[in-house]
Amino acid sequence: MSNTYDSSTILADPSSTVASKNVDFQTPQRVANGVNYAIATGSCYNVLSQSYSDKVFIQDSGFFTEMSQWRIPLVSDDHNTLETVIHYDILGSSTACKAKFTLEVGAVSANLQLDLPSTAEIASGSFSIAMPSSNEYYATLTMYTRADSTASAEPIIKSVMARWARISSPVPAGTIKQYETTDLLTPMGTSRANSSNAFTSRYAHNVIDNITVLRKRLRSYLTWSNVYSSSSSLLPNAEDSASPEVYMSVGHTRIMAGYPLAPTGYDELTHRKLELHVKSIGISGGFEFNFFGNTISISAGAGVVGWTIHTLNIDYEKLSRRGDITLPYYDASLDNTEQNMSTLPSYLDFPNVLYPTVNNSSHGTILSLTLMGI
Amino acid sequence: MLIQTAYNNLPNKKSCNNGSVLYGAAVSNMSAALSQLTHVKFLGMCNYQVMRSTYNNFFVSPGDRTGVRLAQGVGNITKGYVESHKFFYASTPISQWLGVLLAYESGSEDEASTTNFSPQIDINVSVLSGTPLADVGIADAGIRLTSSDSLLLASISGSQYTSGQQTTRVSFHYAESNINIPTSAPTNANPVSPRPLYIPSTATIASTTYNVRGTIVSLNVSCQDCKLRAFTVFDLYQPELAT
Repeated sequence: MSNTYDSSTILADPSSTVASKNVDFQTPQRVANGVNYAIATGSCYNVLSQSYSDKVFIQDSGFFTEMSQWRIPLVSDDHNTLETVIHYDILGSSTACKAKFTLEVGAVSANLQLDLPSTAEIASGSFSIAMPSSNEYYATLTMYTRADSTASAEPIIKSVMARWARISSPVPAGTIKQYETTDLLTPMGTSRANSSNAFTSRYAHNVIDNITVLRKRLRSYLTWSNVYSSSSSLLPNAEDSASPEVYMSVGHTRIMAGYPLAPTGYDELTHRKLELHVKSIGISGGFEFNFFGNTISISAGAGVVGWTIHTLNIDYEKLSRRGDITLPYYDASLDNTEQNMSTLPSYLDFPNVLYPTVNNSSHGTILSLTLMGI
Repeated sequence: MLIQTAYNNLPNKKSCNNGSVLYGAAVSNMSAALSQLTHVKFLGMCNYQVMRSTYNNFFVSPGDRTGVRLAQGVGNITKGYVESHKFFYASTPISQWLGVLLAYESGSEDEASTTNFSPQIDINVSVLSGTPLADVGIADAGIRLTSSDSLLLASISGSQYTSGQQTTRVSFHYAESNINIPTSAPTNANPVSPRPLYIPSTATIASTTYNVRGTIVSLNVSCQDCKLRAFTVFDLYQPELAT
């Protein structure tokens, strides 16, 4: 028995099992193949995507300096290797500039360092994490960069992506925990489906359970983190570099968007479906903002920096009109509302310090935002 | 076969217990639900926000490094302005045609109507290989979006650079590749009018054949007379596929 999959044979034609047709082994075999494919590869594309222009993400410190932080969804306990790719430039000439990622899942963490030599423009690497036994469905990813202060070379990050590595075929035997200890995936032996014998009860139960659990698997729709501690000695003028977006502000309305998928049947699903993870600086009395037709309330806590999780309802009036993209993707964005105009920093009122410095003027601001859902 | 987009109701598991008479409908239902997972829910996607400078000359240093996006428009786009980007996309084993949706801010005629802008955005797909990854060549020479078929000009110049007001004088626009899937793989050597981008199974570059589909590829974007603000790519849903 082998839990293999092949992406060229994952479609089992539903019409092959209707009246007047002989049921043969190919349909259940392809179903088994498709289950293994979905378990191994589902949601294994970008969980983090962000880009930077105008030299906003630059560092002149010779020590690793924390620059950005994101929330990303997990795939399953067996998807424990995160692949990262960075597009960068080096101001100057050096082989000592570096980037570092710290990945935290529950109480467990792992690190990855990447060299950023000035002779290249792409850095990539992967690292694994021992998934904790606790029920987890998201990770927190923090990025650091380091300059070569000896050679006066400064790294400029231009884009960054991450994805969970797929499980290669065959999928290991045994059940796989997706997020909860009750959400178990059972890879299927494709060789056992390779005969025209009776369809077993266990096979059907496993397929239905697998589909039910896989429908809960999360995708990453929008990842945005501010950049903080950006600094350049080589280009010290604010016009030239190191002027990143530190706070989500009125100018982000509408353009800060993701595209969650909500086809027919979405409403009938009763599990976790769409969440906004927000990193903010609290304020006494709390504050609210609007995203995708939902009011997001950040509870009181003057100067408290932390992540909060908010369940979103689909705003069915916002079916995406940005191009015909053939599926019911919705336009989930920071809304253009009076609430946001008064809550978010604007010309009339914006912080006089840049995070990670915090004072009264920066209370009630948003630092990072991730939209994840099924 | 048709690929349903909906989350259908799954069969009652009791109907599949030993001793129950199992008709084809249960298997049909399972296979349809599974194809919805593999070819709808788990279609690949990436969504990049492009962070831009928040420098603002309305304020005095060090306050000119504001840290906030005060208007939707970034502005400061001069005639002949160019920029380029690399967006990495983890294609899936079944990725083939990619729809592109992008947000951009265009330069425009200035208030005196003395300068004509021609915004243009080229997008291609290149292969990444090696450790660490490096760009080894083009897999799809891609597309060109221009003001004649896709891109709009801004209505007025200026932005947060020029005004102390809260108003958003310059905004951004959206453009797309279109979703009409060509009947065959593209062979163009230079960018052509908008169509979906293509992820081939393999690509031969300088006599070496590389796997492309299922790998991380680089989507290279070159902009002229405009600035990119967001870049989103979708694996295109195909409602009917051969088994």
